[in-house]
Amino acid sequence: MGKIGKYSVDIEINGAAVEVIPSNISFVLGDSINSFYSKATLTINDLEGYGLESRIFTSGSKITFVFGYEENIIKTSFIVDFTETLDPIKSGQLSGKLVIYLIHESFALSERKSESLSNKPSGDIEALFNYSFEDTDIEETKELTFDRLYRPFMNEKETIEKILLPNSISSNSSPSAYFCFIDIKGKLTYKSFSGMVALEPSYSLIQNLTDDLENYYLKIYSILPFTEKLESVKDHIVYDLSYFDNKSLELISEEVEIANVALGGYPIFKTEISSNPYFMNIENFDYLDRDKAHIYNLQKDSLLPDKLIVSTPLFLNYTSGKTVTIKTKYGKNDVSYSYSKKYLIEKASHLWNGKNNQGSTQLILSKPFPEFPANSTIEKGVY
Amino acid sequence: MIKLAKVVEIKDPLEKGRIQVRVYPEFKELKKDDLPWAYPKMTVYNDVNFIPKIDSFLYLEISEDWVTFTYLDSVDYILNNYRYKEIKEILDEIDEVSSFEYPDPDFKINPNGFIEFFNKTNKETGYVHSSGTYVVFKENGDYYIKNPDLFEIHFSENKIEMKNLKSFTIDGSAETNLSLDIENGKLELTGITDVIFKDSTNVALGGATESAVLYAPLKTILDTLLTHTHPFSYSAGPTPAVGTTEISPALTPLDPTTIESDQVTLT
Repeated sequence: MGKIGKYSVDIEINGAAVEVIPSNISFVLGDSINSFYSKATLTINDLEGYGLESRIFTSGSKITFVFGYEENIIKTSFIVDFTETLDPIKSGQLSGKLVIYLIHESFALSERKSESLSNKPSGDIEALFNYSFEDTDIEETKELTFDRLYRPFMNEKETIEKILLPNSISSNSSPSAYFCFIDIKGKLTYKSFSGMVALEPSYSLIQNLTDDLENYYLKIYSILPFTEKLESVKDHIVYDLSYFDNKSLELISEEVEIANVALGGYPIFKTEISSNPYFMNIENFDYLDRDKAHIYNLQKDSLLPDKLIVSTPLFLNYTSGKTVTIKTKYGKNDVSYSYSKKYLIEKASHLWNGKNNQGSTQLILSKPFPEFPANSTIEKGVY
Repeated sequence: MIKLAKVVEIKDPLEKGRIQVRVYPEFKELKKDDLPWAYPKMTVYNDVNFIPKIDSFLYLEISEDWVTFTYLDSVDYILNNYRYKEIKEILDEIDEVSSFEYPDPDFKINPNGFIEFFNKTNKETGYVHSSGTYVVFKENGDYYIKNPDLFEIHFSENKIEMKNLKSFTIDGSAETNLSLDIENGKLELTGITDVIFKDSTNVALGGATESAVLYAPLKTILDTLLTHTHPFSYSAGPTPAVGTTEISPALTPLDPTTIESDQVTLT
């Protein structure tokens, strides 16, 4: 395919360039702070069934995308996870819309093994892999109070999600859940929620006012002021943490800071019914820090309830974990103080639409600390 | 989660009852130094302190993040380790155990072979030591302490029976004890200052039953003491030397009113 206008769109399958009709393919390359591996979906109108007959999209095949706009081009590879065929065109013949689900190529390099790790998750994270990354952003964690962690016959993703994340407390930021993900550029991020939202905004977006790719958005598709179900929040958000000190036999209560900071402004939390003290059964006080880390980790799904879904021109530098500011308006061209704020890119999806030969980027932007009512301070960088 | 593990070290540097374990199959290849130490898990109500043997297998409780490792210190979870028949053979030899029929009894075998049992149906309970000594408690409170080769004591209401004894000693202190040497037919009282037969009708001495407190001979002695006011001679020591005669001082007349009836019955 090569160049289509200012877009670059090339696909390689198992290392070999493939000639496809641009209008017959669409794809999405995406990363998310909630997904360890970046993922992609490739959709091909397989009119004659060649894609199926050749079996080139069998699970494990490597597909490389060279994709971008003007000079902003990336080359990124994925492995076929599984495929499905939709809408057969010709009855009784192989054909239809072939949808190929892909997972970042590092998945193919993962291995299950057992090993002992240190007691510092941020020090262990890179050593888990038998390959290196294009770039890394690893926030230092505290040393745990016990000797070591274990990787018990697990692959890297399992070890991170089950062993390292639940035992990570930042040594610099205020305590909060850690996130780990590989973005479409192959960068490994291991960072706390507090660490991510404290980042200076990478870009400032206003609507459709400039040709500068980095600084405008096309449309806000959806505004989700509170994505959590109240029932879920009421039952799961932890405000207070209590435990018995088995030496003094006293009940000790601590405020879970991040819950109050992130969600304390919502009206639901002003009511008594929302109170959800959490009681920990502490068996060994050597593990107190680790038990607290577990509490923070359990709440990570509820930390970003305010979301915007925003469409922008194709811009591959928007990757998950960065922060941006948005300026939006309401009424008679008044600046919205509620929504013109700093947001975390929770998920970034870069699309190629073969039907109209156009690329675009769709972002799920999440607001960490909404205020009630909105304060009149315009975030730094919003203009 | 519960996982099978092998004990590789029991000398806990912290002396907290921890054991170093190799979890199978996950830690099959790890170096010994890297293996985790598992804490004993015990309740305050069943404060049994027990350290497993090296190379024995047991089940560990492991947290989902593989950080905490605990073992139940009083129980080895081993399949097919229910040892009823073995214990029944031992308890069937004990006359005082009236029944040990499956599934009535609960039992526990300590690592040294010590058996504890409890029969849920007839409420008998007891202990058997590997030396052969056992204790059996009956539902009515009777109990037996017995070793068929050495001794037998039966405690029941208002009664203690001892059989098959060769000797019996009550050792009060270094100076005071009562020792009954049954085998040699000897009763020895040491440091016992008062022997009181109270309200006794007969006392048997030398195989014959005499009047209580040998009334007549004792009265004669006492009468003599009452009337004897002159010095008299006696031979000092059990085998007096020839010609060594000493004169005792005159006796002070005995006042009969000082002899209390609780001590000697004169009528």
